[in-house]
Amino acid sequence: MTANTSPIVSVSAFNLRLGGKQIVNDLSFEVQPGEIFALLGANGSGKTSTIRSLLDIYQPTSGELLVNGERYTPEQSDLVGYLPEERGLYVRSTVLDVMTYFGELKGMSRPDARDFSLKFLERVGLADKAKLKVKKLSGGQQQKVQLGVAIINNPKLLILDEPTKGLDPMNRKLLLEIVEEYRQKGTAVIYITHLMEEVERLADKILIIKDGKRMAYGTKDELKKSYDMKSVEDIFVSIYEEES
Amino acid sequence: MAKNHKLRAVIRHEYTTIVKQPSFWISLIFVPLLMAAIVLINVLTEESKNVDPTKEKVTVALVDESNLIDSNIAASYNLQVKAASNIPALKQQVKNGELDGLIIYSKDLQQSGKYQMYSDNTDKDNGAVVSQIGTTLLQQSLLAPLDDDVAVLAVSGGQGDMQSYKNGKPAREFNEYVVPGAFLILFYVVLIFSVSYALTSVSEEKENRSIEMVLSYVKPRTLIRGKLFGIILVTLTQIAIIALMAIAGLLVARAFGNELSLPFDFNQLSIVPFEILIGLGFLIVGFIFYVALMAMIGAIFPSSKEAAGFSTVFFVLPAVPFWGIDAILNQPHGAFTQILTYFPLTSPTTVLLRNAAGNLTPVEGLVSLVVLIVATVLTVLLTAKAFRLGTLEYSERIKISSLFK
Repeated sequence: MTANTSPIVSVSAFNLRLGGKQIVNDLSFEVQPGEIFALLGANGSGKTSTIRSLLDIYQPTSGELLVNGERYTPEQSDLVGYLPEERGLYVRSTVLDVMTYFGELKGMSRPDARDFSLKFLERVGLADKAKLKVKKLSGGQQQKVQLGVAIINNPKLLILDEPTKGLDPMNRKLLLEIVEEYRQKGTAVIYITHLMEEVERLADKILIIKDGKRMAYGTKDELKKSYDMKSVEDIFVSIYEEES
Repeated sequence: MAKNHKLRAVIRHEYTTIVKQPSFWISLIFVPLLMAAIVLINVLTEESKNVDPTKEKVTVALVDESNLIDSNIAASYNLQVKAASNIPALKQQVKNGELDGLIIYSKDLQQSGKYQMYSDNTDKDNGAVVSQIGTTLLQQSLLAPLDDDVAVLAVSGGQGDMQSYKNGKPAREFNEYVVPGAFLILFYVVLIFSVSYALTSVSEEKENRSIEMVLSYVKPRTLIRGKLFGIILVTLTQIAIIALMAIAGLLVARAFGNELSLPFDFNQLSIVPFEILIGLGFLIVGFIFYVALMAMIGAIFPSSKEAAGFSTVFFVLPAVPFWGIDAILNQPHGAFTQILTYFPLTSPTTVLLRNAAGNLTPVEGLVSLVVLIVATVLTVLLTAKAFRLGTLEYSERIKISSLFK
């Protein structure tokens, strides 16, 4: 993609210990603007901990994690959109209020945040739900609102942790279209998923980690060539079956 | 990016989330209205008991063997004065419902102080009216021979002017308790009604899984400060609305001809700057301390239910000084009082109580305030850490020891 530009994310020699346990071990990778970067690994492999460390929620034990060339702090939240794996919204507030609040937390003015929210809700077919409390929405509808919260500030870096989990095929298609659209706009997307078909469809670069260690890193074609396999799923399975 | 922009957003969000809930308005308006209604019913019930016996339409017979009853006063009650020989027949008439009541002042009334009354309660309760006639008639008859002013004095008991001393010094008068006591009441009201919002707010953020997104955009300290200011605004709103309701109640009462009678004169209130300083200091710092504490508990526990259960102890401890009020008022230098004075979980209520009682020395007040400020700063720092660590655990509570690592 845009290999010559400065990376939006740069992680080098990153280690994380939590509760006396080594969660991430000497991890290094880069994500370029306009790139969809698939971060893959089995449950408990350290994916979410890596993202939390990147976003200053966890303190890394050692190493360097940079966003746009510097250590991320919440003061730079206008750069980032994050849809965590453990996600939820303020169920007692209205959809519009929740989206506007997160827009403000990302540095947007209140009118701009409301304006974006209404347009997004229109696009995803939830315009008539704007004034409803979040708890009145179905799970799928709430997930669309969560995506709206993640992209509300047109972030340079979008981090999506299992974004299609629990979505019906129609909404999944819509979400993937939106991700694709943001990539076109130059947004870097860190995409965490267990669905290899999504990786095959979207990913420009792939990082597979196991027990916090980097096991495979490169473009789809590079990995397939080096592993001499036809699919990312085969590569993933071979890595995890290797030692077990 | 302006830090204050995020802080304002958090404050607005906290405030509007709370005040938009129906439960906020129900507790704010209906609870005081319910209490006012209960008080009003009690007042009206009491008023209904204070009947004017001369205006009651009851048929009551009187037998006066004591010769102490003034016949003119008895006539004003429309009593049927009967001879003692009729007593058995009169009793039967009461039983039959032909008379509403019968009062018999016996010969030995002056010695025994006792007299007999009978009433028919078949259709309505005549007992209270007959009893009041019996008492009032006797009092008025006994006072009648006296000069009018003497009679008034005898009935009212006069106004005694008391000068009390405690440990050789003049004891506090009521007007000296009012201002420092108001801080104690205000702190306790805030503790009961407002502090729990911090717990609910953080617990819900964790329970509904929004905290991780929030913390990726806002520093924990900004979030805590925003919650704190939001809850302060909620508290001020509560106080303003309750004050407005009280003023409205007062105006309505005046419109119906009732004047509010306060047990003190505003012009006579004692204003002592040190007492106000201590009152304000403990009200503000104590409030921040408890809000931060509740936010920390909310961040530590995985669910609002568990957090609420654990927080109970922190609502019980501030009440301990009230249980030991005798020791606090009478043994200010005793170990019990001293421990409660400096222990941050009990110091706000203890110091405010002693401040009102007038047995707090300036050194005690200031040292305790400094201890509370230090405890509050540490609690805010630990709460910020609990916020970070709390995002780790959605299913188990985080270990308290991990906050200190």
